Amino acid sequence: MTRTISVTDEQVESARALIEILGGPDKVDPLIAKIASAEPRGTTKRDRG
Amino acid sequence: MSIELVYGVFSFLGAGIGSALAYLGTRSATRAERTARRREEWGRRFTAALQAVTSEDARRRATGRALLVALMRSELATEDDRRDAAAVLDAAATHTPQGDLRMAPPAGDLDDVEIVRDTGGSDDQDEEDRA
Repeated sequence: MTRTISVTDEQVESARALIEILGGPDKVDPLIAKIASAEPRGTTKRDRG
Repeated sequence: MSIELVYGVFSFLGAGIGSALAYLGTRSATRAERTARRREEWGRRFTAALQAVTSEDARRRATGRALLVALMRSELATEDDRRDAAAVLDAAATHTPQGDLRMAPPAGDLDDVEIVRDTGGSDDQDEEDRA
């Protein structure tokens, strides 16, 4: 069962800034990479069915 | 006569070498001083960026994030600075009023978690959090 966690725009921006500082998504915690690539609610695969 | 000429040449060369060494020494000191001044100014901006990132104002936070990224591109940034900036941004990305997002998914189960972006912005999120 998939759990959904919502994050704010600022959290996404912070995650992206962190990735930029550390040199790529492979250099950060997988959770940070996932936050950085979060899509807006209503546009995810699950929402589209 | 020829000895006087040799003395003259050596005196000239000595003065020239002395001047060159003095010039190099001064140039090196000036360069070190300039680097120290740049690093000091960089440190002031870094402190300002960190304060802005933790500000109550959303616009200041956004400016702080942008400044932090720009400062980390500088040659003056050390690994310690990078680590500090990363810690602040990591906290900003994962901490919510409810706590740390890392506590939400059990370790290793990240594939079972879908993260969606609340397009309402931070104010809406705060309202949702308060509700």
